[in-house]
Amino acid sequence: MLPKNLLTIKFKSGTVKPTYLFDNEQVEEVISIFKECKGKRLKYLKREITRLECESTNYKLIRALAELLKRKCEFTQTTDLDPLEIRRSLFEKGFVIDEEKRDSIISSIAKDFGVPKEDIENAIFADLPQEQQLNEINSITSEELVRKYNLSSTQTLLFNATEMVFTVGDNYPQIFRTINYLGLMYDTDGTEIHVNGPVSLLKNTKKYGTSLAKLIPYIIKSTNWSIEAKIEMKRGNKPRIFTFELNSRDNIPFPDNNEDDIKFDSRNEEQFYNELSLYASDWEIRREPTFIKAGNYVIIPDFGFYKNGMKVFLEVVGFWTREYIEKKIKKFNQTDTKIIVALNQNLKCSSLDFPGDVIFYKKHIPIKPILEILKREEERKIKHDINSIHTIKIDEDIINLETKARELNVSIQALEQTNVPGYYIIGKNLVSKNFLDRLKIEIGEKRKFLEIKKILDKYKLTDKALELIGYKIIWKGLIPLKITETNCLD
Amino acid sequence: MIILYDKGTITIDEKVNVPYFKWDDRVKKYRAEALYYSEITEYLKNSNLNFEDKVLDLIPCPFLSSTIKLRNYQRDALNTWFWKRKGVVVMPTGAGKTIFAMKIIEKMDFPTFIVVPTLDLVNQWKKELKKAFSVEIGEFTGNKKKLEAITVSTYNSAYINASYLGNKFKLLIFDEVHHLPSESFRQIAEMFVSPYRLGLTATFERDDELHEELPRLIGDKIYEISPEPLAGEYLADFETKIINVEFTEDEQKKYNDAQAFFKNYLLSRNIKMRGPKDFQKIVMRSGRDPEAREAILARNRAETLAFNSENKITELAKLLDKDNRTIIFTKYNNMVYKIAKRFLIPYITHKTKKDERKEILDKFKKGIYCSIVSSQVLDEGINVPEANIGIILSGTGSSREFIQRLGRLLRPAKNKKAILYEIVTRNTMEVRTSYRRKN
Repeated sequence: MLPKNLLTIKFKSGTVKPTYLFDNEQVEEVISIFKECKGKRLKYLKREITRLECESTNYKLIRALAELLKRKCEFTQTTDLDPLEIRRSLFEKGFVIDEEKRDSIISSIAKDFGVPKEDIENAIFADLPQEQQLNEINSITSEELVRKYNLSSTQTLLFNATEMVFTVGDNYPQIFRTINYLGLMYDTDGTEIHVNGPVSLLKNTKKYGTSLAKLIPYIIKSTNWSIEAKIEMKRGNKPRIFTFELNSRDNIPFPDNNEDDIKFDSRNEEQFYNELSLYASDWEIRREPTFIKAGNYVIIPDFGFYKNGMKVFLEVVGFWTREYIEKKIKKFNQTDTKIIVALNQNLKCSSLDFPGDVIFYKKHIPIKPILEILKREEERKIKHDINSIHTIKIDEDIINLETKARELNVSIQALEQTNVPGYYIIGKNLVSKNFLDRLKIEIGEKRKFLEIKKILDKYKLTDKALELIGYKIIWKGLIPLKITETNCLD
Repeated sequence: MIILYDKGTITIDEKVNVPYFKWDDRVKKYRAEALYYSEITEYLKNSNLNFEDKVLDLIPCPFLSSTIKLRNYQRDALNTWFWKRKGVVVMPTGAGKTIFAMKIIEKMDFPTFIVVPTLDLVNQWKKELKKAFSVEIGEFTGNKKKLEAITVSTYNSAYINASYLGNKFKLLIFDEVHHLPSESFRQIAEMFVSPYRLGLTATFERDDELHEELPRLIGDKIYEISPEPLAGEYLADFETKIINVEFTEDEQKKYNDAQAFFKNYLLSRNIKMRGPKDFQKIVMRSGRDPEAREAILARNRAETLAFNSENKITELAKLLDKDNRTIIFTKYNNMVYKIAKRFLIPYITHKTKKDERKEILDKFKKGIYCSIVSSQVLDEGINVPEANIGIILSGTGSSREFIQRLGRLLRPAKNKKAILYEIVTRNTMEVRTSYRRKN
């Protein structure tokens, strides 16, 4: 984070945004000054930075970058003498007005310490920050500094925030834990998470700005995030509220998160994940996939299983205290979303306490009951889909099954098993009866299979279409020769 | 119905209509600012509503007694404060604010939280409180977090932890209360439920008018006494002398150049300088307009020249005398270092570490050092006894600062005449600054 006065921002019709950095030009200049000043004193470095500030169009940016870089540096004292001791000896002999007398005091103290006079003069202020020598610059690339600057600017702007609404694609447990840890409060509709603090209810306050800023790194670490914050700033002399909006699609360079690996709470969960991926490979398995609103709380299930719009959640309850379980049961009873609970048998709670499916386990979370639940869910889903398809109208003559299934948000199996009135399934397509009638007209008197094949290919249809409109293929050996009428239409 | 304290607020678990409360859908409870605790309980009692008050979680308080004797004006202030048990008392530095506050703590005999601006003041208060009451005194600061029935904290620590501390004390005292109305610090007063409140200061008014917030936060200004009636009897008498110095030729030229640059900028942009607000506007511009920035830099150069003029050092040399205890004030650290090095005078800035500062002040007290040079850290509250000469080498024109600095010299000590010198560069804006303060 930066000192507030070094933040560069832009206002635009009621909105405010930090001026983000995308290229490395200025950053590289600042880094090169630091490198040149290695072995020199901080006050010298400061002078050089000031020189660059004067040449730059944005002095705040230069100063902010220098500030961030300075935190990566190590400074050391330029003398082996103890400045405090030197001062003590000098000042106890003071004060002096006469310069000659001053000189003789310095000489006598230099003699006491066995060093040249200059060393004494140098040591008087040697413990002041500006007299320290730049010794080491810890490695940081210009790109990393750009990213750090962008994050720091965002956080610094957030110091003035009165409230914030955000969405994230993952990283839920860390985010909610951090919200609680920072003493913030949240409210959610299941998608957007609205954060502020207890007092925010009673009046606009920037009190929680610092805490909101601390939440930012966790949000931008997730995928597909968006932030909207209310920022209170003075324009003229009156405080005004501005909106700050940012999301992952803006592609601002922010520090990388390099912990992409899935992290498991226990070996048990990891083993379970690997086994299930093997046996239920058509299901997508996600770790801590979402949050579910449950009264004043949220539940972040350990696993989510996804397929064709189906969502099944699983919460694993291992070794915990009685209070923990009671709180959990209370939470689970406050949501309509079904969550499977895998319970450690050593815990003394009956399956009845939880509203949904409960699986018991001793050592490992068993795969079989989960697969059964997923299968049951799939069957239920197909049944449900079939019911819903009957009420759905299709306008197209030929439509791909998969496309239509996705459009209707049902499974392909359900669509295949459905009798859509006036439609036939031909290969991977649904084809209307009307279209087949027109196809018959198009075929007309043609009987040579090569000619017929051209027509079928044009519509990407298979031979099955011919059967449906009352033709069969006459084969000569393995070669289809011509078609002839049958009487089997309908 | 139960009322509870929750992170700087008060909650009610039932749907009732009580002033100050608002429905909080996040937790399905009513919520109000902690500041209104006494008004809320009073309302509930008057309305004959049945309620269980679980707001306070007080620290057990030993019986408090002391042998403190108040002076007449302190007793008057105490009686006035007891009328409402809330409010601000204005007394000059050195008039015994700490003694007065301690008598109030003793008479109230409740767990008390005291907020002061600096760590030095925390130590000073703790020492005095311990001496007066012979009980353990708590400290809640960046260094130490130990709560006792009487606990001393800094504005910073109290602000950061207000939501945790707010229901543990019945009496809340702010030393140097003019710090309280700032945007962040006022939240201490807002997040504490303490029904009894006392603010102490020598300088009630703030340049930004924010002192108007104080009645809401801790009560009205209920008592004020100026230094004049106390001078001689309770405060050392002092006299002020202004010494004008000229620029050196070189400085005058540089000063004129810098001033001309600034004025040209004003002319070119058609800006008229009528007050600090106009200057603020140019500062705002400087982010976008490089010329505005140059102009400000030029003005700063001129100001620095005026404050640091070489002849001031020469003049200072004339005033130094080993028979006096002298404190030299200056705004710029660079000036502090210059004086320290040239005259071998111990210095204190905000960067000086606590131990070294203590050592310097102790040696000053004992007479091992007869002078100290300092930037602004000695402004508030540190007992620097037995200084009889003050020299102001620069100032910022705030009347508050001026009074506080004077106060530093006003501690009653062995029958001495105190003199405050102000060394000012002639023909600069600084003369105007100095003039403005006196009026």
